[in-house]
Amino acid sequence: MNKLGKIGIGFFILIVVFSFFKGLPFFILSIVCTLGISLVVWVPLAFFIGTLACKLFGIEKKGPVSKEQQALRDYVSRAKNSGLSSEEIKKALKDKGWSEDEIAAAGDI
Amino acid sequence: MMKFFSDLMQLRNSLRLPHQFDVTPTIPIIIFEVFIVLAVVCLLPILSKHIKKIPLRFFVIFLGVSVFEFFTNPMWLNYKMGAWAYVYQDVSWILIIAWSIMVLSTIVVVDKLFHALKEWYRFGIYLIILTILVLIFEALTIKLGIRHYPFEGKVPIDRYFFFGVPKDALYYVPVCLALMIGFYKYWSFAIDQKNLIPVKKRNWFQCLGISAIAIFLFEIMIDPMAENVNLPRWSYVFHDISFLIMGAWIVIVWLAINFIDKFFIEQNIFNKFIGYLLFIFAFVLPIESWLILNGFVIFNPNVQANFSGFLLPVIKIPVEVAIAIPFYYALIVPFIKYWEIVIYNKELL
Repeated sequence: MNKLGKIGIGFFILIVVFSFFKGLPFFILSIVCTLGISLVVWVPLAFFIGTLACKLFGIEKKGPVSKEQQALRDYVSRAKNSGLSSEEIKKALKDKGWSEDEIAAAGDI
Repeated sequence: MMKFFSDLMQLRNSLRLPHQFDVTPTIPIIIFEVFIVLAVVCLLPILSKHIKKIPLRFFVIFLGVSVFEFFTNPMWLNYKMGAWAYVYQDVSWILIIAWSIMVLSTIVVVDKLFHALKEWYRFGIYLIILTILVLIFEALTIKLGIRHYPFEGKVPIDRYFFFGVPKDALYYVPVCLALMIGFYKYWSFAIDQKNLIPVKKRNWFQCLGISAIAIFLFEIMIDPMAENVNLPRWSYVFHDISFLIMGAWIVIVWLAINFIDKFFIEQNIFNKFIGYLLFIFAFVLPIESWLILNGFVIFNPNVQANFSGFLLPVIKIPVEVAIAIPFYYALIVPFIKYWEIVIYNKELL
């Protein structure tokens, strides 16, 4: 899970907690009414909560690959699990503008 | 700093003020409300027999309808529903769940009956069925004395057609439904964990076209909320809608979608959605505030009546405007992205 994902999870948890204690308007107003300056506090807090949640739920950190490679790998992995053949996967990716090399670099199709 | 917190507390208190309109319900209205709640309670288990994750789906469509209702709040008035029925000013959770269950049930039923049809055709069927249902529902709320319009008594009677529903409804109902359906369908890609194909070569012009259509249609619908004035005469394309302002919103949305989809291609739908909104907010807020402060955008009296009076520090525009910006784009962006995904994933959908 990357930083953005952790912050997203953290914010989601914060929203749920604030909603539970009827503090959601305060949370939203604290961001809007300070022109987002309060995010200096909320974003690190959300990141911390998100990191904690990822560790608790065992969401692993992925290896260092480019964003495009990561997108391709995720797609290929899910496509294989859903039963698509190698040819179908390659054709779908080629149709969307990916080169042979990029598809090959995405891993074993 | 103390003044800021005192203003913030004043704003909080103003949200708790008693309602400025008649909230006392009649017996037929109470029966109507009970009927809606029972209908939702009964329909959700029935729908869950046909499609998985119904509570999550209902939550998503509830969010979509809520965003729409909060954003367009000054365009219509809901009276006499009882103090329990309101969540903010005259926005009622009972009407929100009624709309939500109508949209969700229609989508589930149409998908079930016409699953072999392409997404485009099914979208058309949802729109036709829901437009009829919503117009009937609208007429019923008017008959019960719940729904009123700010322009009542100020326009000729021929503005209305059947059972008091304004002719404008024939336009704004399909447009708002298209946005809500788009919102739900966009998030249903995430709920259904659809394996969407990452796109390397994006069609920039196609995205620009969809963005232009979506924003133009929505701008026409919310046209009564504000007036765009003091702009060159040649720039007005419809009523007071100027393509100079609308064009700026279209370009910003178009850039946001292409930027996030290009540089955050590996992110999931939720993260990308946050990215689109942050990108758009960062550009739209200063432009909108400049337009307001320099007299190019003037909010109509019924919109101004909803302002709490709290102004954002530094840029000095009403806090409601800043809150409305992400609301507006939270409906527009999913609609655009939904159609993009449908076009890019023809084989899958």
